[in-house]
Amino acid sequence: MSSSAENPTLTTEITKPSTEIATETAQSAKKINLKTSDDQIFEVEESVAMEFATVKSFFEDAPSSTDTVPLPNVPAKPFSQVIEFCKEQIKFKANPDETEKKKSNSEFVKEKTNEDLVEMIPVANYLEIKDLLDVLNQAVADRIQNRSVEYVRSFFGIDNDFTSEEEALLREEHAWAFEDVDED
Amino acid sequence: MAAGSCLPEDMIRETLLRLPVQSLLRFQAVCKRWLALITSSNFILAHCKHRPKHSIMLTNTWFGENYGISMIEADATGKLDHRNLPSSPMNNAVNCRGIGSSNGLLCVYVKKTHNVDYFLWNLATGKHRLLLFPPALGNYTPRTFGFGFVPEINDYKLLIVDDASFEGHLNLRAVVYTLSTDSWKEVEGVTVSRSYLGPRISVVVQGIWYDLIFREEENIVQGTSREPRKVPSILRFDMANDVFSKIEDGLPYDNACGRNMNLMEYKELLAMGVYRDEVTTFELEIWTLMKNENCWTKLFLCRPLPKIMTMMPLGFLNDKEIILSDYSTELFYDILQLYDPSTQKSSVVSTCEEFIYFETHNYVESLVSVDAPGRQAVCRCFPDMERIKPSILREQEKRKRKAGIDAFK
Repeated sequence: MSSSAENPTLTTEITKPSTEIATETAQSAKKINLKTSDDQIFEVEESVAMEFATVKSFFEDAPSSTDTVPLPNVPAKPFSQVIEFCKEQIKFKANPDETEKKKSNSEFVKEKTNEDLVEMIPVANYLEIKDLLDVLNQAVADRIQNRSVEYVRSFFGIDNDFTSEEEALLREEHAWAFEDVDED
Repeated sequence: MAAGSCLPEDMIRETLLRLPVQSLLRFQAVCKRWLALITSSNFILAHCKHRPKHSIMLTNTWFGENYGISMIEADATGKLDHRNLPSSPMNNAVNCRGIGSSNGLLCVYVKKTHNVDYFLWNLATGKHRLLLFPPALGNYTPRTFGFGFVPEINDYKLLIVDDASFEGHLNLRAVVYTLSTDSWKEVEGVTVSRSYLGPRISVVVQGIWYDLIFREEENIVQGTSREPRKVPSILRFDMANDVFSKIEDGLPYDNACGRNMNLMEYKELLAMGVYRDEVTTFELEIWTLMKNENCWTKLFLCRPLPKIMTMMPLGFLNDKEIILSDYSTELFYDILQLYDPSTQKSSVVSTCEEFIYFETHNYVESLVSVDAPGRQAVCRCFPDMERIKPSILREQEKRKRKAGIDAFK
C-alpha cells in the first residue's frame, strides 16, 4: 500500500472522456478505474475497490482485465461517499478496534443528510458492501424510529393509499403507538 | 423528490426490521404495502431475531394478589423494570406461574379457586387472550408445563403435564395446545418407575421440552444408611411430533442435590446449571447438551461464589451473563445477581422486595399475535388485503390472465 502522506486524496475524480484511459492505469498497478452511471471515472486504490464484492468478482472472472469497470447502477454523488466509508473501514482491517470502528461509523452517518443516506443504500446494495448496508439501514431506522407517519411518508416518498376510514381504524387499534412522537 | 422514493422493497424491509414494536405498529398506517409487509408472518419472525434478548420473571408482593413481571434488560444496567400483569385474566387468581416465553409471547398459568386458566400475553403490543381448556378433556392438575415456538412446524405449542404418581412411580399424562389451529388434544403419556418430578421449572429449547426427574437410591456410607441419593435424568418431549422420551445416560452430575440444579437455555442449546455446595467448594458449573443430544460439554466453571446455601442459577441474560438468585434468610427476600463468566465478576441487580418465582424466561419484544392465524384482527379490518400479494404471485397471475386472453383470440 502506498503511504497516505504521498497521496492524500485517494479519490481523484477524472472528468475527461471515459474512453482510452488504459495507459494511466498501467502506471500504477494498485489503482483501478471505476465508471459511474453518469460517466464519471473514479480512480480508486485496489484495496478500496476490493471492498466492493461486485468489483472483486469482476476481477476474479477476468483477472487480466485492465479496462475501466463500468458501474451502471451507481451515480457519482453517493459513490464518492461510499468510497469515503470504505477508506475508513480499511484502516480497521489492519487494526481491529470495535469501539473505534463504531465511533467512526456513527460519525460517518451523523454528517449525512437523509437524502445522502437513502441514495447510498442502493449503491451499497449493488456493490455488496455488507458493513455499509448495516450501518445505513440502522441509521435510517434511527432517524425514523420516533417520527410520525406523515414524516415517514415524505421521507420515503410514499403516497397514502388508505381510505380515511381504514387509516382511522389502524390508528385507533394501536392508539398508544401514536403518542409521544417527535415533532416533524 | 423525497429521499426514499428510489428504495427497493427489500431495502425498506431491512430498515423496518431494526425498529421497535411501537414504531412498527405506528408505521402500519403509512401505506398498504407497509401494512402487508409489517403484518406478514415472515417479517414478524425475522424481526424477533433482530431484537435484544432480555430476561423476565414473574413476581408477586409478599401478601399476594399483585402479580407482575420484572424485566432485566440486555444491556444490564442493573435496573429491574416492573409492570403489572393484565388485570382481566388475573381476576380472582390465587396463584400464577410463567410457563414459558417465546418470540415475545408469554404463556401464563393462573390458578383460581375452582379452576385453572392459561393465557397468552404479548407484552409489547399489550394484547392477551385466554386459552379455553375444553371441559371434555377432564380435570387436569398441572404439575409441569412448557410453552414455545416449534421451528420444525412453524407453530407455537403449550404442553400441560398432569402427574398421577402412584407408589413412587411417575405416571404422567399430557395435553397439547396448538396456536395455529387454536385446538387442544390429549397425547400419549409416560410412566417412569421409581422416579419423581424435580421442583424447578422446565424449559423449551428449539421445540423440545425438557424437565428434570429424579430417582432415589440407597445411600450407605461406611455401613450406615444416609439420606437417599437423588439420581437425576431428563424427561424430554418433542413438541413437533408430540412424543415423550428420556435422556438418562451421560448426565454431567449424577449425585446432585436437586434443589441446586436447573435447566436453562443457552444459545439455542439446552444448558444445565449445577451448584455445588459441598463442604469446601462453592462453585457453579454450566454444561450444555450438544445438538445431537449425546454429549454434554462443560461451558463454564464459575467461582469463587459467595458462600450461600440457597444459590440458584435461574438462566442466562442475553446468552452472556448468568442470573443467580440467592434467598436471604435474614432479609426474607431474593437477591438477584448477574454473574459474568468471562470476567468472573458478579453484580447485584437491584434487590427485588417482591417474591420471585424460581424462574426466568428469555424475552424479545415482537409483533407475534396472540390470536390463532384465522382470527387475526388486521385481516378482518381489510378484506382487500388479499390484493397485496408478493410480486411473484402477481406475475404468475398476469401470465395466467394473458394466457386466458390469448386463448380467446
